[in-house]
Amino acid sequence: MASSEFFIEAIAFLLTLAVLFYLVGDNFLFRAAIYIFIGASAGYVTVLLLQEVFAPQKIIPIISGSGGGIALAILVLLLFAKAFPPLSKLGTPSLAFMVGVGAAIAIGGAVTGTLFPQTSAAINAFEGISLFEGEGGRLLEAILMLLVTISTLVYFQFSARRGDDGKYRRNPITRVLAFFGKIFIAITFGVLFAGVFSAALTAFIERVDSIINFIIKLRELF
Amino acid sequence: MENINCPVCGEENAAELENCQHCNQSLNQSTRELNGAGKLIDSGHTPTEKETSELEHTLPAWLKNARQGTGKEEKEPEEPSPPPPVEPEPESEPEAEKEDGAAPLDWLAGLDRDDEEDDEEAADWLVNLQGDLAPEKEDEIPAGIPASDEPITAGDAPRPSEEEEPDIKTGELPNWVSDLQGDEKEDDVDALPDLFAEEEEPSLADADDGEIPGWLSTLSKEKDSTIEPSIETSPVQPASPQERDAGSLDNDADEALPDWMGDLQASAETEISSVEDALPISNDDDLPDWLSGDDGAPVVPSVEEEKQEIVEETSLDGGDDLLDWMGDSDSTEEAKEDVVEPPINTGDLPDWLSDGEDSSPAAEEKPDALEETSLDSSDDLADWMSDPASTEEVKEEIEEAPINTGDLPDWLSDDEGSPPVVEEKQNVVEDAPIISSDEDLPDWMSTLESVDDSVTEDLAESDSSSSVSDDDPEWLSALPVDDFSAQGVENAVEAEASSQAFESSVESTAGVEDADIPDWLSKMGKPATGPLNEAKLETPPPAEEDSPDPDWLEDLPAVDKKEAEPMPSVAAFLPDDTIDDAEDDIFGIETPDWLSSLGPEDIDDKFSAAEAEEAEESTGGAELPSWVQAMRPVADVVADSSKTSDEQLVAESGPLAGLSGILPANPGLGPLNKPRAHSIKLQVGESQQSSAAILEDLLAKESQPSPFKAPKKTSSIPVLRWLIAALLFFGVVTSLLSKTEMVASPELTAPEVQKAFEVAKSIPVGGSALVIFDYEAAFSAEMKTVAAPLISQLMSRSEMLITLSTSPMGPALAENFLSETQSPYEFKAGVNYIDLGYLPGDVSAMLGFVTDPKVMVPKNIDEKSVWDTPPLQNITNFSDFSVILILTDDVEKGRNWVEQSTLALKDSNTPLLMAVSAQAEPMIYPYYDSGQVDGLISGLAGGATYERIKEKNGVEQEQDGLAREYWDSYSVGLFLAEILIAVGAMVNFLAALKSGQRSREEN
Repeated sequence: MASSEFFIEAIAFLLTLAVLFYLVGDNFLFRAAIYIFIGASAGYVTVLLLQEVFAPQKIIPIISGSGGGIALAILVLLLFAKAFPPLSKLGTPSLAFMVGVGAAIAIGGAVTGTLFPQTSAAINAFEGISLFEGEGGRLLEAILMLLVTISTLVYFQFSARRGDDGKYRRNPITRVLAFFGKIFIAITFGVLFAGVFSAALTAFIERVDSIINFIIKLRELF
Repeated sequence: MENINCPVCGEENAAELENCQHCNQSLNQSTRELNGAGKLIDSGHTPTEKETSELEHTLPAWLKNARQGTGKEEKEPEEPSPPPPVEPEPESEPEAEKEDGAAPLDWLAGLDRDDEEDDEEAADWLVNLQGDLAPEKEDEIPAGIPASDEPITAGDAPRPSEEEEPDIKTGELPNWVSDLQGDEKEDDVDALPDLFAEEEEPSLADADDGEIPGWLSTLSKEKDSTIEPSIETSPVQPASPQERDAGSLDNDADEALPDWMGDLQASAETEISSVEDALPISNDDDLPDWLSGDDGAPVVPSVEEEKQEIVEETSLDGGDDLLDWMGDSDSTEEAKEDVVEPPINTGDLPDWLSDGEDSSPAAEEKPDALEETSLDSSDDLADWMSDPASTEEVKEEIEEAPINTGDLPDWLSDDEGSPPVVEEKQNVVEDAPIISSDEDLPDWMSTLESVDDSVTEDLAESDSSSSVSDDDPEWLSALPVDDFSAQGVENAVEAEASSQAFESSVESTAGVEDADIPDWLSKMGKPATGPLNEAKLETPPPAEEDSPDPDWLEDLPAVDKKEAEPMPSVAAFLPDDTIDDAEDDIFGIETPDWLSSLGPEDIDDKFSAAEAEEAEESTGGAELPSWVQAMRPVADVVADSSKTSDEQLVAESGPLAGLSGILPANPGLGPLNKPRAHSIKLQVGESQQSSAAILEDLLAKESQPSPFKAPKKTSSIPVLRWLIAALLFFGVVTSLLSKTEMVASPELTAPEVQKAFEVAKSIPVGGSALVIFDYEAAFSAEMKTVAAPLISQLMSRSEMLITLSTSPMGPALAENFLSETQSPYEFKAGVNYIDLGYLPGDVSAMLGFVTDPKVMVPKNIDEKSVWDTPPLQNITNFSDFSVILILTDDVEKGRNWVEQSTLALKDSNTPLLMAVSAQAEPMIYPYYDSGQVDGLISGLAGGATYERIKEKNGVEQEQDGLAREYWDSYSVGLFLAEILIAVGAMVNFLAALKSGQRSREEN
């Protein structure tokens, strides 16, 4: 067990070093590590799909003679036709079915899960705030959230009118709100970048920690 | 067989003949011999004085013959057959002859003399015609004069004639004129000149045989249409002549009168018929009634009208002062009622002039005749001369070129000669030469004078003209009026002189016997009515009988405009085409082209040098009239003008050819050199060439491929990258290896993390928690630090973990997650947790799983139904799970799960917790803020916070929190990153400032 763990950790160490060799540029070790990750993932996914999806959900129903299984099997076969250009049109119905259903579900989920709830949340930010109960900060947060939301949405309102000098200009109020919205959007992008950097830094720390641990284990072994 | 008329005698000759059988003159006379005789000048060019003797040879033969004949006549004693009761011939004529004694035949020599000379040389009879003699005229009117002889004055109604009009002394008229009087005058035919008699007798006798001469037959054709109404509506003439003439016209019109005469008479009667009432008659008793109506009413007549008036006026004066044939015109005005016949002083007129009865038709054509009869018919004025119907144009022309009748021979002063003038139309009148005196004025030139008299427009002038003595014929008395008015001389001395000249002229004309009249004059006399006949064609139809006034009189200013009716007027000047060349043939007289086309070019080669010398002698000392010089060719003028090109430029071509003083086309008019050869190459400036080069470059660059700009090769050793990596490595490694809390755990309380802790804390023990592993392998380390404290808490509450993943790598990551983070618990798959595996179908699978979990995941990996295991036996819906925890690094997957599960979890108590990567926090946090997510843990900071919350809350932890382990490194790493970003931003800012400063310096 320990040997297997060491072997796995050794592979992880090597692959990690291979990726870190990217510091010296695109090199064979980096590309080898990338290919290994892609190949291992693809193999794992294929096996997983065959084992957990295709066999139990597609093959078994057909074998068992389920009606739903036969329909699914036909759609699957037609979708396979997309892999062959002469027969690619045969897979169009299956693909259309998938896209249509997926789009409908996504739109429905967006409306019911994002638009209405988020709009309601922005409207109800001032709900239940009592200035006399020490909720001034909440009120300020609600005002700020409202301004950020409105200013950010106003920023994406690009309609304007042509002025006397031929240039298009926004309404003065819109221009002011858009200016603040642009600031809030920049802040959001900064937060996203910080989140990405934080996630990457965390991954980097974990890898460095794994290397350190492997080296420590390796030193313990030898 | 075609016959032609001799241009001299008018006799018909065969077309083949070159000379006339009768007068032995050339039948083909032209103006060719005049070509080249002189140089033409243009209008506006000052003519140079010429000796008219030089042009003597340019005169046509007939004219020269006429001149010679005139000279003879002047030398021959005149027979005083009917000695007119006028003063002897004025002395001006002999004086003129004396002046021209050096060149007796140079009768044209004085045409260009000044007005002063004209005044000096003006005949007394011509001067007498002026208006200042009018008072004398009034006194001389006899009280017992019969009504027929009483002058008709304007303003006075003519009284009825009680006596018969005295017989016209036909012996005083030229035979050819006397012959025109009709039957009554047939007895006098014998008195006609032989030549004229020869022509008249056969023409009358052969009238029915169709052998009438062409010009007579042409005129006679138009008689029938107008003769009858004209007879009935002629209101001017007295009753007695009316009846007599009417009867003669009715009974013997065809026999007594030539056709053309009868025609003219008839037309005149029709036009005169309406004059009577509308005619404003002046108070001047000296004026005949028919003349009194033109007070200040200038009628615009044509040249033909004026000519008609000439004949008419002379015929209306039935007294001693009028020519007989003129007096006969009264008989044609038979429709005139209550008209006092004007006195006809036939004694003052030559016989041939007094015999105007047969020519009266010509006079009757024109209504102006009535006006002129209203003038003083007392003999002083020639009515046709005082014709006010002449146009303003004619007046001006005459004023510019006064006629010196004294320089004209008698034959030229005879009105018989007017036809050529008329035939040449107004051009001839306009170009009329200046006649300095009236003594030498030929009769035909006198006609011109009569035309000039028509300029008289107002009654005052008429009154003034009425003062001429009774002895003067009316047609002559009117002559000097306009001439005088044109010259502006109105002194009594000159008037007296003109009166004498007039009387002498009358004598000279009235005393001419039939035999004395030269043949050429007889020939010229015949066509006198030609234009009248032609004018008659132009006259309007006769007025209605009930119309008392002629229409043309109503247009006069003196006439009440309200009562006046439109007057049929005759065109003042007939168009050229109305007078065709056929007239020349009719009248047997060729138009004197020499008047209009005199020039050296027309000199005929046949003109011998001897004749030229003779002409020089005869015309020596004379000067070329300006109007003749004006006819010189343009080319000669141009040639002459070129000599004075320095002073005045003369146009050589174009519409201004011949005019001098024009502006030069090119100032200076330098030497005419060969035009400079211009290069056909395009003249381009430097700026244009540079612009063209730029354009060419642009076009050339368009076709050239832009060079590929190879990216800068990075250095084989990325120092900056290595430096950053080294710093990060150093910070992370040192923080990991230090094993000390370099950075304290996060003390700030995150509400979402706190809420997540409270939810995890509040879930029932022994429940089933659904953990969805939807993150990628790259984020497994982060997700372990984020979700490990929460899952550890759940595990501590004996919750059955049910894992599910929509990512294929999810099940493996879930197993790795649980094995590494929950190793102290030694969870076993199927025992401690149930892995539902991979859920394919993304959003659709999510919705399906939320809707019916058992349908979407019927079996697990080992082909056993997971839903039959004890923790899952009570789960039928998505909300049956005790808690739902979503581990994801992808915003889309986390949002999809929230969106699809919002409705399913809205009314349930199943909390929804989310442990997300730090990069997904900004997008997932609103769902926590909206209440759709009950608790949120994001990033390493969230995991560290959750561990600290657990620690504060006394939750036991089997191992140190992974988040706290990484927290120091994480903090160092963030700090280094912050420093690097700040330093990097500062460096870039300084670089930007430096580059800006450099660019400013360069600019």
